[in-house]
Amino acid sequence: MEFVWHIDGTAPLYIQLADDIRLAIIQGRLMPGARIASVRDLAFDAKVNPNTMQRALTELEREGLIETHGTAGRFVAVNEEVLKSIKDRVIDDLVSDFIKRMEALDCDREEAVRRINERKGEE
Amino acid sequence: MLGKLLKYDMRSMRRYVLPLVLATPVVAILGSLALRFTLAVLISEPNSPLSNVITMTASVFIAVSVIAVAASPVIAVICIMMHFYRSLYTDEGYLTFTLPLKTHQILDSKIISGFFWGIISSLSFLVSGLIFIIFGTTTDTLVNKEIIDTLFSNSPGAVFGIPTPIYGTALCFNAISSELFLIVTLSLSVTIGSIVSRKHKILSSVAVYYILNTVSSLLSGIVSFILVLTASNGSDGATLAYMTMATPMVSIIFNLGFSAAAYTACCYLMKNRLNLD
Amino acid sequence: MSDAVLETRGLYKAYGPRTVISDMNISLPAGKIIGLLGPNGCGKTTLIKLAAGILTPTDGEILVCGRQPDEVTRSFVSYLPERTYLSGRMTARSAVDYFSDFYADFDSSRAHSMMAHLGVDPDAKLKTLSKGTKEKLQLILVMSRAARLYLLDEPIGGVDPAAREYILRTIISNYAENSTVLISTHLISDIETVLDDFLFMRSGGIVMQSSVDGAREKYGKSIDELFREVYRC
Repeated sequence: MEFVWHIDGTAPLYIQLADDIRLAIIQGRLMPGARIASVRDLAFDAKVNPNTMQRALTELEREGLIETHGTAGRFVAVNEEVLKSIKDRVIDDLVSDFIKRMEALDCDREEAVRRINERKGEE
Repeated sequence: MLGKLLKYDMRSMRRYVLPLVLATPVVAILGSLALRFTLAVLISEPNSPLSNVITMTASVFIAVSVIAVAASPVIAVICIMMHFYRSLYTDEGYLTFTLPLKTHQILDSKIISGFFWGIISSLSFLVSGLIFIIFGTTTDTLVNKEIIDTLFSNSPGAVFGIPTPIYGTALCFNAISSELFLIVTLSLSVTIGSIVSRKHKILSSVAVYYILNTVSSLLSGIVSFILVLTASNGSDGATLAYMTMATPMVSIIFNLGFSAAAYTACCYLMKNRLNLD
Repeated sequence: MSDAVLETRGLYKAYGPRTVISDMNISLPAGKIIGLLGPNGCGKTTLIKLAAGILTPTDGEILVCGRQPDEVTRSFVSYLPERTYLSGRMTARSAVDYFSDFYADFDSSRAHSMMAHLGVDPDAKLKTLSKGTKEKLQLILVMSRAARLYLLDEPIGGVDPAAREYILRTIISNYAENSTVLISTHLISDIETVLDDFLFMRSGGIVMQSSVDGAREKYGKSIDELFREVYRC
């Protein structure tokens, strides 16, 4: 299980790290109920400050995506509803972002949908 | 903690000084052999061309060995001070000055080990000198008995009224205090030199030492002069004894006093004016 | 204030007519990795040397865990200068023994395992090692101490990217909750993900002090970009 870390200057680090972990979970790279590595190991892997990584994990705990089981460690949530709602939210954000960008290029929704349908089967 | 640093300093200085200390008497023995040989040749065949050639080559060898023996305590002190300089005022200083020791402890360790090895090298020099005198100046016997008798058995009971053992002891202490004075003054010189000149630390250190040495010689000369003035009431026995004993005593006091002052100055500079680049 | 690991009050350092640090008042807490950022020559190294105790202030105070730098603070401050300060005649093993001898908080088994991981021959003389290896070795020695304050002066400058990564990872994995790491550097983009807080230093004074995330949120830029803005000529 390897994480892909996307870090740039546009947002606070802990938010970007949380995004990357969230993506890994909803993409299924990190399975429901799977154990998550320790803060130190994650920080080491991402080359970030452990405090920052801790804040990212706390954020995900707040969302309900991750659970702490006492001293056993941190695990991905198994609650299907939670996972689904978060996946929906991420997809919604993607769609909003896409629409915004297309409109910035003078491409309205119908145009956007048309272009998407044209694509089917090509790739 | 001081003991730990002392262990390392003694070891570092030993690396250079011990071989020197051991080699010097060996060189003296070789030189003495050459001297004996030359003397033997001179005695048996005074003027033949062959003996002249042999004598000349041997003389060069003897001269070189004498110079080497004479230079060995100087070289030893240079090695000692190079260790001092390197471990404090080059990049290694970043390690030394951040050890969990008081600044004066760092200086103490260097001075104690420098003093120790300085004395050892002086003793080696003395032994080598004796080798030349006792061993190198006879041809038929192993050692020169006449000189041994003069030095040890028939030495005068007193020197200008001072019993010889006491006078001898005073001279020894004088030599020891001079060694201390040398080490401490050199340490202060290297410290000042390294602080005032960033690019030419060694050169400045030598210059500062020259200055300090001149000043201290001047001061000691003035003190001696005053001493002579206070005692110039004729040349009776008491005055001569006083003068004879006073000279090394004053020198000892002067050496110790100047050493104390130099040590204090050195501590102060190391603590407050240190500027490793 | 009293539990600050490093504190300065009206700190002032001058060399003759040249003022290097003027009227600095900072307070660094425990448990953080803090970046001391600024261009070359702005006084970062001087501040670190003052904290390490190898320079004395011209005026004002600098306190390490409430004490002026002395032999006691040196026993819990671990300093990595920008230079090779180990004698070339030493071997890696003898360097570890030396540190172990003088510093009660030194963990020699940790140092040895990090060295083995690096592939350093413990009995090779240091002068036979490459510059990069020597720098990593010094970092290993400094980080193998369980110190309360680590002072790292330009640990990643002049080192290749792979070595940089190694150094940053070593700093991260060494992190302890009650210790503070102060890293001075001018290479900001490499280091900013490792930092909790940062200070921008210029001409002997602090022009900005903040947490990294706080600054990113406030200004919407990375610290590297922020730095370029602040220091634009």
